[in-house]
Amino acid sequence: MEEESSVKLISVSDLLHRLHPLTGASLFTPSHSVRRPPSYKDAPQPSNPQNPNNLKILKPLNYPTVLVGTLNLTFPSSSCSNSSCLKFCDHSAAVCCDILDLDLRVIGQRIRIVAWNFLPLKPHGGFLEIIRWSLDQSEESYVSKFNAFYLNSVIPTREETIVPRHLIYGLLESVSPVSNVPCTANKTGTKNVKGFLAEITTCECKLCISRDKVMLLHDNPTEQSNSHKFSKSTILYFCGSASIWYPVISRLVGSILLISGMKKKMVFLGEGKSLMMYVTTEKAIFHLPVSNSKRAMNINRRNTTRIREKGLCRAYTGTITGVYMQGMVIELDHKVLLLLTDHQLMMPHSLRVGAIVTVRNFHLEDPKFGWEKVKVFGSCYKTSIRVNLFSPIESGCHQALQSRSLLRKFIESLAFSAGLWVLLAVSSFKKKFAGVLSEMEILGLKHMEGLVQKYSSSCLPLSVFGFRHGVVTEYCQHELCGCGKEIDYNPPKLVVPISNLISHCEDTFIKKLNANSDINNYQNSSLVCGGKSHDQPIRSILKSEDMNIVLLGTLKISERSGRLQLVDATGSIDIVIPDLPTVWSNNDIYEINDFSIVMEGFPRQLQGLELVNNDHPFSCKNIFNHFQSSRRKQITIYIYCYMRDTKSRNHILHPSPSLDKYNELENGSFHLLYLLHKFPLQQKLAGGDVVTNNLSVYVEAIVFPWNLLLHKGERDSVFQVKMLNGTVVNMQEDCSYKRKLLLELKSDSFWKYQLLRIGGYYLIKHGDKDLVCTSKDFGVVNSESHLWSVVFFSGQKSTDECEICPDVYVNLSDDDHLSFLKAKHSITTIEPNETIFKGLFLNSCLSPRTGGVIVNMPEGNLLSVQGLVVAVHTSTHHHHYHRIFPGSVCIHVLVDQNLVKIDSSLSEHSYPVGFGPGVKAKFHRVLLTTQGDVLKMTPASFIEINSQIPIDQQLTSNDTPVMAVDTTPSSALISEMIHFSNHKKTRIHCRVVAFYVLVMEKKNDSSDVKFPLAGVIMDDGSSMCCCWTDNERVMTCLLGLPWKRSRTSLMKILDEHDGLIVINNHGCLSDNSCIDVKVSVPVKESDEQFLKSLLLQASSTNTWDVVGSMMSLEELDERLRRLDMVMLPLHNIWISQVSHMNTLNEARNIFQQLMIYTKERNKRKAET
Amino acid sequence: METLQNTHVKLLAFDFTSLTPSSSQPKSAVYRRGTLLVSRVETLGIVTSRDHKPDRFLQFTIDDGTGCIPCVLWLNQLTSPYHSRRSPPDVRLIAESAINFATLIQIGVSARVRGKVTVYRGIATML
Repeated sequence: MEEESSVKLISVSDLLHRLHPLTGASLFTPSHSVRRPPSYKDAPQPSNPQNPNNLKILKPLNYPTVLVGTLNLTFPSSSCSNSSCLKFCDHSAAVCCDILDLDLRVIGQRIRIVAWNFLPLKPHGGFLEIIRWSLDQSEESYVSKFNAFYLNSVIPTREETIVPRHLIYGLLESVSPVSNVPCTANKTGTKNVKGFLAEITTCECKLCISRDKVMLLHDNPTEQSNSHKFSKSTILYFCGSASIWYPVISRLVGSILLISGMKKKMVFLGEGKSLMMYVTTEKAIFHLPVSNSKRAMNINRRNTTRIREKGLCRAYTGTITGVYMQGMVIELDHKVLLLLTDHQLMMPHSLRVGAIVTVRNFHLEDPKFGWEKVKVFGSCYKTSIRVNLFSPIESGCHQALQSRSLLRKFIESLAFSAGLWVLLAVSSFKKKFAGVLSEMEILGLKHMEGLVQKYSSSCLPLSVFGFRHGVVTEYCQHELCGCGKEIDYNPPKLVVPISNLISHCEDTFIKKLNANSDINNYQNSSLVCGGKSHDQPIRSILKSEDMNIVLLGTLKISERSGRLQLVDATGSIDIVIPDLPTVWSNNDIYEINDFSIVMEGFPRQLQGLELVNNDHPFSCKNIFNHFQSSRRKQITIYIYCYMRDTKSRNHILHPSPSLDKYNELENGSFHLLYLLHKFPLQQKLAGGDVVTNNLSVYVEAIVFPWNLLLHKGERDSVFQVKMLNGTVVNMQEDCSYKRKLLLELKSDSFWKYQLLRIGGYYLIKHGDKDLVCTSKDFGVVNSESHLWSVVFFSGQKSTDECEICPDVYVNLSDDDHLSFLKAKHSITTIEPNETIFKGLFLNSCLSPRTGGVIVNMPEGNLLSVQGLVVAVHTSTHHHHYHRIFPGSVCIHVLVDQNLVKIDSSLSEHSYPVGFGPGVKAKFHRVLLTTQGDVLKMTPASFIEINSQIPIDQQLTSNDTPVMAVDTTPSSALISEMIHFSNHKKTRIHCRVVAFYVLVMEKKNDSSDVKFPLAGVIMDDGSSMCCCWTDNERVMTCLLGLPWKRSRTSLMKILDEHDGLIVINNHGCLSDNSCIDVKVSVPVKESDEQFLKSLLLQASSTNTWDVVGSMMSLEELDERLRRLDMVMLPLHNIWISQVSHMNTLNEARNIFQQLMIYTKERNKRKAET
Repeated sequence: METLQNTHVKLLAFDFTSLTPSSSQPKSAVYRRGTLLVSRVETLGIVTSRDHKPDRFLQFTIDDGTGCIPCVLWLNQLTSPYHSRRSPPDVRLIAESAINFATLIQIGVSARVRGKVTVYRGIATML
């Protein structure tokens, strides 16, 4: 190569001093002449957009350079322990190196490196990637003088000068790592011998088995190699000083090898097993191919007839797209994960992101991970990796760890997929608990298990653990050792950082919406209230069993919102745990296996959202790498779970302090409190971004006039619930005296506030200066005073009685229980008529009774309302908004089948997590206004969720709240429905033409009407049908009965006629103006007119959205016969749901379908 | 030939105006469009004209963007001999309902109208 005089000679020490990655070449052009991997352009871009460092190309030196030095196999004072490294040294220093297209002739010779990459290695070394080189001119004549090397030294020789013996000629299949083997051959005792094994397949052709194999040395490979058939497997053992050849031999896997002077020896592998192999001797010679190295080594693959070992894959070439977990996981082409978990496997430093490599002899495994599809290449002692092209990217070299922790040994003993799962868990744990736990606590030490290992071993089945036999045994008896054996097991759940979880939920939600063709579908569910249409939030639920993930984290009360959150170092997410025990601690790490994740948002706000990441937040790459995502404010996400499904992992880390807390309950005297009310977070303080430490919340309680003495009881081990015996001790002479107590909880006791439930009984330990004794009517709950939730029983305990699991069950004697019940009764019926809470609110009148006829309650009173939340919408004039509770909202609650509206202007944080359509909630202390059935939330009102129905989508106006996004019946025309099978639910949009029959009956137990059967003629423009139902809500809707007046009138008529009326229509059924109705019983004319007008009105109202299915004639026939009616010559449909149709949305849908159709048609046109 | 005689077929105005009385069907109230036989239709559009004759009828036009459909809403139930065979309270109910509809039909409102097809003064009309 001609070089210009300007080329500078650069020394190795100069490179080492630079301490940053560099690339250089002797031919310098501005366009950077360093050879690039040809596929680099096509190579997928480094995938982590969050990490732009990955994209950096190695910085080139801005002048042409050349390095001159010697390439060696070993270097005496080498600091690098990697046995696969070659060494390059010049007059100044030595450095580890790798070389492309290794020509054996250069070993020990001076070379000129004309293109190279340099990467610094910690602590003070470096790694040189030799891309292009040439022999130093002075060496060229010398090199031609030798064609072989002695194996136990690196002395070149010429084969004519020696007589080769025991010539071995064959294809190098695999090479084992360098290992130490105890050797007893020496008389002085046991000595460790360093060495490595190589498997070679030899040929059994005439030439090869002939005694005079010397001919092979002169064999012209290009002509004759095709005649060889490499089929016989032989093991070579390069031991002692020959082991220095490891860097060379390991780079020759897949090539032809010619070695002489080896000695056949029987090697004992232990357990009575032995194997014949060739061992290197002092005279062993490594012959260089005669012709050009490259051509000689590339033999025809068809000649290798040897059957591959089961499960061992030959070779895969790909680009490294990721190196994770200190080089234990290497991602190839974004699709394969190569596992290099064994510490004996010494991989070259040049395995960097961007390099093109060939992996040989690996095990392909397809782990059945529930969260992501991934392909795993498992490595064993036969695996080798060769770098074909160095990476031009400034990506770090991986350095093998010297120390081998207990965790590393643990991972090495696992099957590949299990090993990968543990590595994922390690990465997650490190991310999740950074700053919470020390690295030592998470990973463990050399002789101590860390949290990850303890957790992993509890999750993995025994079948994935394997016994390791050592390099020699596993290499020689590969299959017997069960290497790469596929194990059928269910992989454990993925431990996910919360940031990944949130991102996954958001992505899933958006995808789900997009998959449902358009968000406008959901606008069907928009609600009309006060003459305006209001969007309703869309809800979607993810179940833990579908996600195959597990949540780990600590529980904390958010300082910002005062809400309970699941927290790890990567993020936090709101969590609802209805049965959280009051003894939970901030330091406990919880493992949550069974949960639902609820995602909510408004259709209009979600429309513009797009996926930020194309790749899956649970992909191995995103678990290993730093993952960051910005949270989308339009989507509300929270977790819903029960504590009895959660086992605290705390006891594994520290002696759980939570256990000691129960000691307080062991015995002693307690005050008994009844929680009257919880006041919400004060509006002026809640919701601000500033963390305020002087926030307070207040609760109101009634102190019972007697104390409770507790005796030792038993502990329920599962729920940590105590069973205690108690005795009532009278404190006051007047047992009817009850004291009202206002309790203040400071921000450090917010979690106690979260756990308190209105109407619950609580115990406070009685002491000298306890809270209850020292305060008259106002007290501050400090962090020491504990409020124990309690449930009383007498005799046999029935746990079904209470929904929420209390801290303690107290068994009272019959007498005591009776006095408790008396006191309970007197509390629940008292009507305190006094000022509450520092004059904050009006005169209050508490009525804990729920339901009932609320419209008759006197004006200006506070009452409690319990019911099903049907809708929540803004009551301001804004058409849409992006928060669920933007300030002023209107809540529609179904209370005993009456729709009640509650106006609220509470702050967003006053609503409990998960509050929205579909929940059963109790509204405490709401003000009844003069507007009839409109109620107002006041600053003292409190909402408590009784039960959350984790359902997809929101409610419609009928009784079936479950309307999952995916199972929404598809729309059809009536004329199409006749082709459908019975019971297939279909949605039709139709109008009532006439009523055919209507049976009305008085309910036995209540003052309400029921409809045992109704037949309605419906028409959708394609055909007519008769829709049948016995669903009260459907009929209420169709008849427009929500109005109280008509309902009351109906009741009156029914009362007069034994509670049953049948109305038949004998007129023309296609025209409502030809009304010809007969009532089964003689009714007053005015009543008859009322009934007729009801039906006439129902037939002239708007279009309905009806869900129903075709029904069989038999089931109908009998019902009609009993009514002495005949079947109509129409299709019969059984309807289960009915709601008003939103014409605008319907039009939008049709328009969008047309657009899709047009697009597809144009596409087809373009294709043809 | 498909018959949809009792169904309120949804038709656009330009389809409606192309309806012709069916010759094969003796009943006068059956009209055809291609192979389709209809007698009742439904339309949706804006009320563009209104001619109210109290106690007789309301004549109005529905424009759906493709054309105009002339419609007649009878308000003579209490006086017409057609309704005399029915009981007076029933007739009152029907009349009330018709008057109620008549008040809803105002120029500019969007209305969904269902009715029978007939020829009134030589033009297909909805009753």
